[in-house]
Amino acid sequence: MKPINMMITASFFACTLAPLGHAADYEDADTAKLLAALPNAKVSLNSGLKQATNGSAVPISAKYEMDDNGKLSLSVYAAEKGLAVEPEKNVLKELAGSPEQANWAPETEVFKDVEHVARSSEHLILNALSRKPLLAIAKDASARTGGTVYSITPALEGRKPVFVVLVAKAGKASKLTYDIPSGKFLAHKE
Amino acid sequence: MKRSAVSWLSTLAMLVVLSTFTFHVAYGEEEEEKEYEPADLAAFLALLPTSRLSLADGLKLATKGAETPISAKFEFDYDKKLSLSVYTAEKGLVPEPEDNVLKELSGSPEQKAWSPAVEVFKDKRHLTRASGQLVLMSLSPRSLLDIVNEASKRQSGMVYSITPRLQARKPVFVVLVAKDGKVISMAYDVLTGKFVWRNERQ
Repeated sequence: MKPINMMITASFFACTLAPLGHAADYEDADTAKLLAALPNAKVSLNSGLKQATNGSAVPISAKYEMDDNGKLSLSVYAAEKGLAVEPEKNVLKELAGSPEQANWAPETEVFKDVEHVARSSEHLILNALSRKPLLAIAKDASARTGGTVYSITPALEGRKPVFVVLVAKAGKASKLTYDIPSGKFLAHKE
Repeated sequence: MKRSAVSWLSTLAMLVVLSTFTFHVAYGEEEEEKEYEPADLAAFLALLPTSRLSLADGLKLATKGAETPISAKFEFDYDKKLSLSVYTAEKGLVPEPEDNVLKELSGSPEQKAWSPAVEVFKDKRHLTRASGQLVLMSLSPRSLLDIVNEASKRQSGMVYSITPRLQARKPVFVVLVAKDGKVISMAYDVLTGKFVWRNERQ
């Protein structure tokens, strides 16, 4: 194959497979374990979002995950002073705890480390741009797919602000995206 | 007192209350921008003409490869000397804050060659601020340099600060201009790049 043809072929595969690479994030072995553990949850993601909405505190992302001991955990990031207060003047924290009892009694961690401070600041700014709360987006995703929403995160995809919602159904994961400023549904990738 | 006079007075009182409220709402946001006490602000503004670099120069110098400025300002350093500070995202505007390197380049603008010290942010205060600025910059179709150039055309004086931020959940670039010992603030919509408002204060 001539070098120019090799370049064209490589570019084609790079462009075609790149989007799948991102989708593969939720198809790995860890996700398989998480999906298998999800039916043990007695507290839904929506209940976690509701519980984390307390006074001025507003949830800015939420997900089920396996904790350090390999047990199911429900984690909600929250901005204690609400969405109108910029990250620098806010208190960004995580509420995390087992959803396997009827009462979710999360532990609270106020973020201080680089990774979580950077991530939660982004989540706060992106939520502030949205007209819809996470709960409304999660409910829409659930109604649209008939599955269990197990993660909702605001993100930038190619500099476009989107809510990424991951849904489990029949042991499989799928990804939905919503435009943050308008709240409109964008895509569903099985 | 006649009934009409009472009614007129109560209307006047209501107008006074409403105007006071409106004044506080309008200037409440601007208050957040004030970093210096009046005496310090006057000293700072008096020092600005000693700069041999413009804010636009700093933005150009801080743009290197993928590295992109996310805010910039003149300020006092710890010794109350003039400093030019530019926050940057080393990996550009596409990698999200947690995957990026957020830093500050700062140094004296009183020589023609700017030799800034570089600090990679690890502390919570600067990280939250820079992360927010990176997210807002990545949403904008315009660069800081575009906005500074536009603001310079619109308003005479010296542009000395540009910061993307949220004001009442609306993303704006706040631009500060020094002119004749006064500060003029202007805002541009981050999402469209369009001019939004202008305020002048002593």
